[in-house]
Amino acid sequence: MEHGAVEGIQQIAIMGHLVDVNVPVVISAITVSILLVIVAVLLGKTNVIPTGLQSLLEHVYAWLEGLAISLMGPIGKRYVPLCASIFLYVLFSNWIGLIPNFFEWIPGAQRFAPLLEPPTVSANVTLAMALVSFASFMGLGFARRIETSMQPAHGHGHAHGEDAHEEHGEHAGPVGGGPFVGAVRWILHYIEPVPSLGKSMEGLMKFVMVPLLLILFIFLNIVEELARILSLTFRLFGNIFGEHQVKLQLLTLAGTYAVQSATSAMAGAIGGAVGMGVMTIIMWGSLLFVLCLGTLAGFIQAFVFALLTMSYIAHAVADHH
Amino acid sequence: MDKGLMFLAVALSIGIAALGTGIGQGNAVAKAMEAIGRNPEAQGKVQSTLILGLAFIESLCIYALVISFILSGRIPA
Repeated sequence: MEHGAVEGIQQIAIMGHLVDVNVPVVISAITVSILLVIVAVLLGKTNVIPTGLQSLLEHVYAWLEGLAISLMGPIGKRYVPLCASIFLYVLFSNWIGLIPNFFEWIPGAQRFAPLLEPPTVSANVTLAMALVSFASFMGLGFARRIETSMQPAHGHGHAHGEDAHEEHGEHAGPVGGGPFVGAVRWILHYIEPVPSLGKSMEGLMKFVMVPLLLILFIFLNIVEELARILSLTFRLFGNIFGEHQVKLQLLTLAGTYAVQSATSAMAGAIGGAVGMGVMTIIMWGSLLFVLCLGTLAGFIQAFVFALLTMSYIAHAVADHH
Repeated sequence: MDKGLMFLAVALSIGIAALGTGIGQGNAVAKAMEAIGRNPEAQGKVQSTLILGLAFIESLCIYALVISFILSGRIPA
């Protein structure tokens, strides 16, 4: 297995032919297939009274739904499927690297190369996930603004039945005006704190400061949205990449100590062999500890990714006054 | 160039970041524990907000980790 020029692409010999394989993509595909198989198997025999795996998945969904409702009220229910799929995908991506698998010793680089590394150790994958999150909270915020503009300005509109009544909640923002007004409202929320700041100023001060503040806050609001992509990308990538590197280092050390122990034993140096053997065992023990930690960290990172996506959506769809 | 200084930079960038992040996360967790102790019913709400806050604090450390990985990749063999 040679490392190609492009990051993540490796050449693998399959039946005598060298094939370029984009490892993160392949492992992502494996991850998604596992999820699809689980769901497909479960769909065949769903029960009203859930048992086993179905019960587990329903618990996960109910838990995320509870979070969504606590973040954005009853309207949060519609965004749960998106956040839950992001959560499950990231979770399985993080966890698939924890499965003990085949490691290959690369003599030139003096290190181990795992065959199965989590796709999230590639910044490309986490950037893609962050872009999905970004597109969804921008798109859903815009769609929500258009939707509220289509609702009648007065009354709760019984056309939608109970659901619409429920979704209005306690803090109904500005409604009505048609889609055009809705789009304008969406654009106007990029100048957000300026109107209220402008009200507190008087005279010449207002004419000088308001344009300056306008430029500043439009810039800040746009940077804020873009910084979200960056922070989502690097949080997931850094955590999983760091943990993966620790794992690889421990494994490499364990391998090196084991080899040294064997060579010492063959040379007849019993003390050295025992010492290196003990070091090997310590390294394997640390590896076990790191794997346990990795299970927890993988879960927490997936949760944080989904929760942040949810809270960005909540911020985007919230009714501003 | 001076390889030793680069090693120092790699170690210091993540070390200083971990110091600050550790203090920050410790404060956050301590306050959250206090809040749960005072009002155990608010546990769920405190927990999810805490994890969100910890994620933001931790991302600072992660940026430093990325920087130190970039630096360690640049050290000439």
